[in-house]
Amino acid sequence: MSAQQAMVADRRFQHYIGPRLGVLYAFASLVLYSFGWILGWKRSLRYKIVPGLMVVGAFLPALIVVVVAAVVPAGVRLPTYTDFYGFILTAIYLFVALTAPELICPDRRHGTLRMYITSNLNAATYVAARLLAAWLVMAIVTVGPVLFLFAGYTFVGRGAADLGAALRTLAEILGSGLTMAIFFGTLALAVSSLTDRNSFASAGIILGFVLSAAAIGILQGVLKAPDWVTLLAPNQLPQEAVNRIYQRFTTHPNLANWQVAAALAGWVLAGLAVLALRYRSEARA
Amino acid sequence: MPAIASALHVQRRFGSVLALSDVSFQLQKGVTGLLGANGAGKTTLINLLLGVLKPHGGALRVLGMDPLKAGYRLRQRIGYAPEDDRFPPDVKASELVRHFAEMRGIPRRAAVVRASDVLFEVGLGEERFRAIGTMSTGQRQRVKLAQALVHDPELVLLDEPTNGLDPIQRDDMLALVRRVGTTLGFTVLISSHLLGEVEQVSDYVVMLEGGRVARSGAVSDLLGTGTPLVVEVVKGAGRLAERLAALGVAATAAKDDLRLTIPPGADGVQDAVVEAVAELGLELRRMERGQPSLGDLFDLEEVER
Repeated sequence: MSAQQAMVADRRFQHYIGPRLGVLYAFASLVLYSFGWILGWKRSLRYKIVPGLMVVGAFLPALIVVVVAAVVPAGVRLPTYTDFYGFILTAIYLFVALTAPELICPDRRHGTLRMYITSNLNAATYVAARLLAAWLVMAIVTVGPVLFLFAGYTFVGRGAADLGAALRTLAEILGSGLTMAIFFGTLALAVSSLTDRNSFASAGIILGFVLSAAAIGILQGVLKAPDWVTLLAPNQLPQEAVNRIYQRFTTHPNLANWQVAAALAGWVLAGLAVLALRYRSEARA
Repeated sequence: MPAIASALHVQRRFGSVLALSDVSFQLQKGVTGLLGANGAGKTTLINLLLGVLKPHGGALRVLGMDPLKAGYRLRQRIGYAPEDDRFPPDVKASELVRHFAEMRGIPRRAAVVRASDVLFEVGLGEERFRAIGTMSTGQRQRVKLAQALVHDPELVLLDEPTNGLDPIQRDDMLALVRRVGTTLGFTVLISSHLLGEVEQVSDYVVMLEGGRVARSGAVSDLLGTGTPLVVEVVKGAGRLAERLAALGVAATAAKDDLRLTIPPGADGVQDAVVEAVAELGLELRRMERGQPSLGDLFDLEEVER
């Protein structure tokens, strides 16, 4: 290099003169960051294992069903999309119980919540971003496997009869998957907001499903409780809604669609109320 | 020069406890030490400046804005490092700093570059890709400082940044804070319950005591231009101060009753001290003019406790 080519690089600290973006940008950044955080992106291997296993657990039944569909004769009845949710519901429960707490518990535990609410976000936008991230992550297991099944059925010639039917089925898949994602994501985040320990939150979510299932089972089985008790069961209500979205069948014919929809909305609103109460003290600005 | 922040008769209570009863001060460009014992209201005042808490009385302006009404437009111009340093252990320093740059509105590409630059400035250039959980307390405090600087704020609020540090790490951190406020040109408010720290790094000091501003101003003004006379007795500094006051010499006795400080400027004061000591029958251990310190001027034993 000649003397004329040489230059002194200015390595001093430079003040920032670029654009400063607003709330929407910070909101989107947190949603994206949270999405990757739950799935273990840019984190050590131990944080990738659990979500990875859960996702595999949700997609594996779809793969098996598609393989079976490819080899069995045309007359054999294949699982419907509503049947399929029965196969993966346990994986959905586990996924939401193990991943949702990771979204908000560490922020309280590590004190980073205070840093978020002193950024472009406030308590309300922080919770909203975490909630949207929870829904999106949940959609991986509530929409993804069923979409995979839809694609597989179509690929092996067992899909919808025509384009119109295919589009209707797609809308049903998205509608039911997102309903489940919003329902489970909101409730899991609400339970998680009650503690700053991931393990307590996970245990609380699983216990909530198990105990409510047991209680509702006793009410319906032994005590012959009326159909509306189903509306109180967070483990039965989403499946009931899915059955109605697909317009296949219902195990509770005495319940109107609007009652099921209202119950779902009620549960989600209750979850949002818990979140609002928990973060109310932070929501000053 | 307009104040970076100002408070006028600010009050804040938590239930029946009055955390800040009447706080007034002006924050100038440079490094300001917010000094006070634990529970004096330092963190409350920082939260008020951030707009996270609502004052129950008085007026507060930060960068020309009302912190409660300005919302994110103010918060993205403030850098804040909370007292806690328990960051998620598995996150890399560069990743955390970049993320909080984005949270303050810095576009992603610029955030990556600035995270790297600012970690270099705080002495973590080589360590920036390490997980925070593998770092020492001192390094974690530097990460915390870096995330407060990454978006190039106009005001940096550091809540007890030397907590948990050993004496060497503490000196390093204080030197870094001083450099941030001088070489890098940031306006810094550093809270501490240790007088020595504040004196070491600050151009200005705001001292909180019982929810009020006990003293505030430029450190150089508070210290004065001359040198104070420091007198140590075996016991009875309080009585000596009273006697000197009667003789027309202002003196401040320490709470330990062993030491008193006479501000610079008084003539023939040594003779008056010797006379008063003899009159009261006290034992004089030391009397000398020395480099002034805030501790000599303020009785801050309570602060350091």
